Amino acid sequence: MDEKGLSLSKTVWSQLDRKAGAIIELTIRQLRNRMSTWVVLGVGILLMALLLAFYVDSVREGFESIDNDGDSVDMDGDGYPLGQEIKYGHSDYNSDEFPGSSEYVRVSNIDYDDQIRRTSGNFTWEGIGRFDAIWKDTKYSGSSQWEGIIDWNIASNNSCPSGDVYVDWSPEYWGYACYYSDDEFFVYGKFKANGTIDVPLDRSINWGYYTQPFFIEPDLQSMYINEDDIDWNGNLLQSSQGFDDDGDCTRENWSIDNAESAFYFDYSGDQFDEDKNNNGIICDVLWEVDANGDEISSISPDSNVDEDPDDEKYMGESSHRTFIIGVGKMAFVILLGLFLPLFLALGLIRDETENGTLHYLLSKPIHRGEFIAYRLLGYLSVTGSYVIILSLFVGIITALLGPGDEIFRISDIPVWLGIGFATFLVLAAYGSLFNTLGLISPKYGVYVSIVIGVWEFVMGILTIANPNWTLSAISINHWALQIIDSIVLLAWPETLQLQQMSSAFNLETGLDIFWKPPVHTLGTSNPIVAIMVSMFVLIVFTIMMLVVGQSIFKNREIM
Amino acid sequence: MNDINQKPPSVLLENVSKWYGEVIGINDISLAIEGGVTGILGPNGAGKSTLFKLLMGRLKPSQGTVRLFGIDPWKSTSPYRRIGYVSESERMYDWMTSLDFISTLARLHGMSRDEAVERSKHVLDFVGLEDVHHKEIGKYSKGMRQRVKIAHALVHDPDLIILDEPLHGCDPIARTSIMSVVRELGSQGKTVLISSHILEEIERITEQIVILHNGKLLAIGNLHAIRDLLDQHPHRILIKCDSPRELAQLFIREDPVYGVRFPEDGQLEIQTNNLSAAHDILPSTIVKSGQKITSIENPDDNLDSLIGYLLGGINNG
Amino acid sequence: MVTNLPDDIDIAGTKTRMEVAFGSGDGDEDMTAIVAKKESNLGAIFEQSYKPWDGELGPRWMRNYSIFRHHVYGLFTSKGHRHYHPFVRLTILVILLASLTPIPMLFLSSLLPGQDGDFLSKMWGINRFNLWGQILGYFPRNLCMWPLLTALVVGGMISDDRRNGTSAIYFSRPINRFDYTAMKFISVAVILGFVIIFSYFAYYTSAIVFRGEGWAFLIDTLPLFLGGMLSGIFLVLTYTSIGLALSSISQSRFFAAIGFLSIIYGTKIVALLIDMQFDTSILYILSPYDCLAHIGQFLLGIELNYEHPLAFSIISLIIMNIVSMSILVSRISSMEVTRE
Repeated sequence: MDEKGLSLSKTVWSQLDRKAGAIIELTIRQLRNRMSTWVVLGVGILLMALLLAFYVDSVREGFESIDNDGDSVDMDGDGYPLGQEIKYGHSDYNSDEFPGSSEYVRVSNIDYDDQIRRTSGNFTWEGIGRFDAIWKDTKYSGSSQWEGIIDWNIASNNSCPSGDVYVDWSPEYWGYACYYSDDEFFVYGKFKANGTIDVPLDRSINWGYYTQPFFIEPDLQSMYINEDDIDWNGNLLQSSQGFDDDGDCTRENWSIDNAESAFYFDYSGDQFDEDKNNNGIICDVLWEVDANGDEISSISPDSNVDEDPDDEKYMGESSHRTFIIGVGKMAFVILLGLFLPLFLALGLIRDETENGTLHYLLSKPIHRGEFIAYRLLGYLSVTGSYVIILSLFVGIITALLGPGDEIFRISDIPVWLGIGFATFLVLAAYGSLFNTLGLISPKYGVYVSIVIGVWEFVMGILTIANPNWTLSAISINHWALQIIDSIVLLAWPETLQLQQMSSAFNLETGLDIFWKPPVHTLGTSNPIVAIMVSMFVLIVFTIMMLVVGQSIFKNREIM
Repeated sequence: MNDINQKPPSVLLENVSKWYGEVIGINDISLAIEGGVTGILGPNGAGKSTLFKLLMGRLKPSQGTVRLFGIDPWKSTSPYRRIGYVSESERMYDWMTSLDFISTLARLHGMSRDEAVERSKHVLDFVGLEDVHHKEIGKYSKGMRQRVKIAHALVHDPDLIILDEPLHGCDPIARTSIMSVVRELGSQGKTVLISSHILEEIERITEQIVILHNGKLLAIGNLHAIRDLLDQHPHRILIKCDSPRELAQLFIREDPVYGVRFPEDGQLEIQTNNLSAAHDILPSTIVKSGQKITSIENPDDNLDSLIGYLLGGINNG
Repeated sequence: MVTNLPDDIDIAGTKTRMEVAFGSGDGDEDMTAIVAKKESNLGAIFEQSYKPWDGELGPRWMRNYSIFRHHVYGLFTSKGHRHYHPFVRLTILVILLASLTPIPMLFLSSLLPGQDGDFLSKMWGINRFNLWGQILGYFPRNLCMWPLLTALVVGGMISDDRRNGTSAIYFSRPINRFDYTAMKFISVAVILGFVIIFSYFAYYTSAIVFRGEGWAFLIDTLPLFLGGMLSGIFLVLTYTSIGLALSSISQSRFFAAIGFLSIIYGTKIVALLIDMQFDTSILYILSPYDCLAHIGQFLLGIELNYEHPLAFSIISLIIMNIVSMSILVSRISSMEVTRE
């Protein structure tokens, strides 16, 4: 070594470097020497292998077409699937109502306050009055007694009581009738007959007729799978798009005029509204663009429009992304991110104290704070490289197998790296937290760490479910999950659109469950801001814990 | 290091006390040590380890000041550049080889990897572990482990070496080799502090001793000087025989003996000012008496009674 | 220098080492060791004769009961019993109180008139779902409470003995390994059962008392109650055997606790991920919680919300128990009575 090199090697920095190197190396070798390290890391690899196995299996099978809106069922068993019944304005709960079945058409009525109180004709009647019959349909009957259909056989044998109706006596039930004389009856109910009726004051009657039933070929149930595909031409400037291919929004076959006022639910369980998105155009889909004008940020369809898309076409990409996001969040951040530090970081200094080997390390000219930092670096170099290598490995496999035209999905890799990075930050934050807890209280620290572990796990799950919930921000997981959300949005900007599509069009990709736009953007809705904020929180927390830990450790008397 | 005229002593304690709650570990000790091997003597619980832990910055003194080369070890780790410490803890990284163990720790002194390995080999040879550099520490015997601990303390060529009970639990061969290492260090002009509760061990290494008892400093200085001082104190010899009274008559006539006592049946206690002189006359007097002696005891000839005297006449401590 | 010794040393009446370690004597007080000596001028050889204690041994159940007592009483007082950390005791208390939260609600429902009371009793009163949820509900009971409880109780149960060599306390006495294992198991199960099944029982009884229900109600709901209790017992047994198995393979109580949490949480979340992603519930058979929940749904007559057949869950649960029990047994039978 020449003289210059010698003087260089004696600088403070190179010495610091050597000390750091020695402790980091010692920590790595210690971890390497412990059985539990290998068990934990091995379980992590097994976990990824399991997930990959399921992924490979699903890729191989492709995506089964599913009935996203659930209209391929025939619940009342009349042979017509729900989708066909809705097109004709029927419910699927009544087997008497089906496309082509006869319908009641109302002609007119006498209301309680009308002047003219007499009318005549051959109709289906419903109401109260004194009826002079020319012809009665004695075969007209309903499916239940509650419908109030008059039974003429009973009526003919039932003489009306003397006196005026509603003065001296009243009809007993809906469907009641009694006989005066000469084919004159008092009626209170529904009946089919030709004749003349007088309606008492303050009473009313409706009349109309049943249409002739006609035959409509029942559709196959399989026709109501993927029958209403998403109609989007990719034009960002055109906000109103979409077409109701299966006619269950436009309802052009609805035969009944009063169906307009009927109360219907759409497939998503809301009240049927043909202009649900309030853009003044019925049965369309509103595609709204974000502030930059380059990405779809919100999709709101009218009821039953584009509600059953072709799964094969849309699921592939969304499911692939959901897999990456789900694995990244649950397997990497929550499971590995939480349990690696619990197993490996808590004993970094505590074990040394317990074993009495701390003396060797502390009788060296190192500041105790430095010592903590190097120990953590050693732990991080094991777990961090493990996590990043694992994420890249899984990433490469999914990028090779994933959907799309290219052989290798390059755009996946930044996301996987981001997952690795977020997990790394979590490992650092938990590592310093658990380590500091172990320092603050060698006895209690362990128990507090277990309780914190449970808390973090719960908060992680809640963050995935709803990142807007403020309480979940009081956890480390929350911020790392935010980083993943943000990186996903950066690497695949159209994820927002896919997420909107999966919730708007009932696509069961799970994307809307696992991914939501980042929350902590300080109002800018810019994912980079969210990454910065989350990184800031995690790094500041890590450093804060280090500072607290070293200030406690510095003043700790070691027996 | 920079200013030779103002060079502070290696070890300096001024009115240092340390107590753990109610228990006093070290009680108002003032001490300065520089150069050579110094034995710290005291029974278990006398405060030897507490003293060393104070020196090594493990504990904060409750009162007083501790200085190593003029620096407070509680506040700064910089004196450790020049100190090697062998703690009483038995545990080591059993899975490491001794070479790995020592070179890793050497790197904490800022040595490069190669430097550290070279120095480690050197110190391992020095303590006599030439053949086992690459054997795991877990497979070492107790004496070898102690020597590894000493080697680790020497790897950075320190000026001050602190050894907490290095001979504890070693067999005689290991003991001899460790003692010679320590003597060698002393002859190299280093300051060595070595603690023990057995006087004989220390006696074979050094004459400069510090005696601690119950956290108090009892004596400091040359072992012989202290002995001579102790010779001024009354000493006792306990003889067990059949008829102690007859024997007493013979002894009371001798010059060094100034009193006799009969503590129990069949026992004779001789009191003397000059222990060596009394021992000189002992055999001839016994032969003269013709009695059968079952035992001769020198109850004061151990550290406990030494301390007992220093404390002021507590019998058989 | 030779020291005279008394002719014989009788240490009768002093405490033997094991008594000190065990905290109480159990009949060994009369044990004597007689040490005689041959005189010699140069040294002494001690002839040792040991007269074993040959009194009557207490019945086996009594010895076993003392092990059980040692662990369970420790929850309330650590004097002479197993030491539970105050933090652990506090957490167990909090979990117990949290699992009793439906009771004040039921009490409130009995006080409030009309609709409010009806609402509360509908929300908290006895029905299949609430009975199931009291033991097998995921949030918060099986997410936060039961696993944490088990982890804290089970953590050091055997690993401490391995670490500190305190198994000698048991194995140097007339206690065989089966007794040791069984008593450890029962102790843990009783502590878990105290929190889980006791709170379930308290919930059921208080619902009846506060609502002033009669015999008819009791007859209607008793089968449901028993079904829920059975699933609670399954839960306690499964968690105990998994936890003790982990405790027996580790030397640190922390590893056992974290291991338990990671098994319960890890399997659940992975199965959940796969269920959501790939639409198959089969992986839930790996999760002890989900197997229990599945069986509990069957026992209480709730619609099963797992796609795979119930038999899978039952078999998987049995396998889990057998595997953990065999780990436990093999670890304990090969345990060295020393500090490891």
